[in-house]
Amino acid sequence: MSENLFSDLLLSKNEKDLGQPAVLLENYTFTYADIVNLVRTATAYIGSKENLAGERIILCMPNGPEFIIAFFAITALGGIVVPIEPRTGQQRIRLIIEQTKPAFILHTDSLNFSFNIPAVKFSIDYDLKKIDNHDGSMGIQSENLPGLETAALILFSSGSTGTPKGAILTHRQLLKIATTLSEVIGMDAFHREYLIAPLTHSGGLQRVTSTLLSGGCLVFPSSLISIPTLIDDIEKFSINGFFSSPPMIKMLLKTDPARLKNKVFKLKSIEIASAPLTSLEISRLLELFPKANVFFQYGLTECSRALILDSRKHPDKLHTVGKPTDGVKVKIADTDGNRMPIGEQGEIQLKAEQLTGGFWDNPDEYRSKIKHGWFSTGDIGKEDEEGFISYCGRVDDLINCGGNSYFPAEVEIEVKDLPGIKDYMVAGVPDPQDILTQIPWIFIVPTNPDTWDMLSFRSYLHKSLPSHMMPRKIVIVPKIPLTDSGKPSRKMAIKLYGPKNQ
Amino acid sequence: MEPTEVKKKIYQFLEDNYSYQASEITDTTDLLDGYVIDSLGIIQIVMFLETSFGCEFNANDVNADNFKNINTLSEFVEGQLKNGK
Repeated sequence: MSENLFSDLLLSKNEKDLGQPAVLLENYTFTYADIVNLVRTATAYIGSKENLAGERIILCMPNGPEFIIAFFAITALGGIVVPIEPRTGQQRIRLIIEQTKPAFILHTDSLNFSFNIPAVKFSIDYDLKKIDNHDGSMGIQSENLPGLETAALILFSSGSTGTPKGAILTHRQLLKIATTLSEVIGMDAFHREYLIAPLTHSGGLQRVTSTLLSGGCLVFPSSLISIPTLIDDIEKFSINGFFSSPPMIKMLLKTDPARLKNKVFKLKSIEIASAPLTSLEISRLLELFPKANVFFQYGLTECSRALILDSRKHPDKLHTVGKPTDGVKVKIADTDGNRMPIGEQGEIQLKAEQLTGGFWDNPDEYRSKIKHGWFSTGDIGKEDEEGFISYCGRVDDLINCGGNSYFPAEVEIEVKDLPGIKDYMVAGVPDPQDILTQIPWIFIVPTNPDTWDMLSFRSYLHKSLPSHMMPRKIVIVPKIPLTDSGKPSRKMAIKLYGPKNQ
Repeated sequence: MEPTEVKKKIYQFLEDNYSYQASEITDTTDLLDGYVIDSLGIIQIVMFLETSFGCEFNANDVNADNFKNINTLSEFVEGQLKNGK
């Protein structure tokens, strides 16, 4: 039997382990045997459509058992999963479809977009534990499974020109990250993982792979995600760990500690990613969860979990994002690729087993990211004497809103062809509530400020953009400021028209 | 407390956090299926309502029925306040 995601995370379980719970949702329990059967039948349901080896299939569904089953079924068939959040900007979806040319879209709910590719509904009968509208026949056999070097996933991240770029990840790379996480977090067969991060991103998806690798159990929230839901569910389901972006943590820190008392004592670990937290906030979190460890991870869509800080083990390093994980090398480099002296800032560059080998249908973009053999992250950092890396900011205009990173161009691309607008610019400004890190603002130069319809413009953006990209303020300005070399300057726009001037 | 006060606060929250003007949404606009707020917005609005009105949600309260639209959400909060929760 070849090594791959389905084999290593599910089929390799022995008879005793197959009887253990793998997924909990409300009152439903799916054992490992249930999940294996569902994946096998799903391969017949999905694979009967056509031969999927090497084909891209868009997975557009919210978190749930359906996502997990479909992910394993597609990758077991040698197909490549392209996950898209149900609420994604129309232009972004169009660009992803143009790049990947998917065989079809697999979805659970009605889609809010329509493109000229087939859409296949995929749902599970939780009582009968079978795929809806399927006769129950089994699909792929173990001997036909793909190998480790087969592409399994294309994760799209933001591109600086507004065109998203899809990082290709193989079965080997995804298994490598699963192994790293499982070992660092200390997951075992008793691990109960609370899934609150979207599975369409590596943050959430790799918690699924690492938990299943460890023989643990995945738990979906009992209701809409909120701080009360989190606290109640941790107690109700004896949750051991979860992954979160900083906004959730920041709101958790504002919660009355009395509400957590005697409810969270089984929690062993919290993994946090995507945006910086202050060392003071991490310290307060450690006080709030005295029996839990807090891991802070630094990674990219192209290279997840590159660095991890074990905050209980290194309380004096809370200002850093930790050290490289197994198999990862880090270089803090100057613009010529030379290693910077200890303590001095430069770009964070990576070499890693889990690093993507390329962007889908975009070799030039990937080549531009490789500098002297190292992957260029666009992040600024510095290294201390003990090898801990501090994150110091970005070399570009990337916006981080609530843990979602994107370039202004991805919002601007929605605006560029609209009538009545002479010029425009999107920029990230600090979130005044200190929850989302940054929020997007848009500066508009209307052709005629007296007749420009801001309300229609705002409504159009609400329909076109996911909420993390929706400009929180639309500011009419006389002109977009330029640098001395004549380039539009976001820094100057923020200085002239930003929050301090409102 | 007048029911409109809770509604006013919710409209204010949606304007401050999601850039919605009162003319763009109504009391019956679907907050979730209409993609007015995302998952982070639910977390924020729960905290905002708890802080603003001193009420307390539990996990069962944070459901799709209560968060369907501004009417259902304000009715839930007003019910909590009436019951002294």
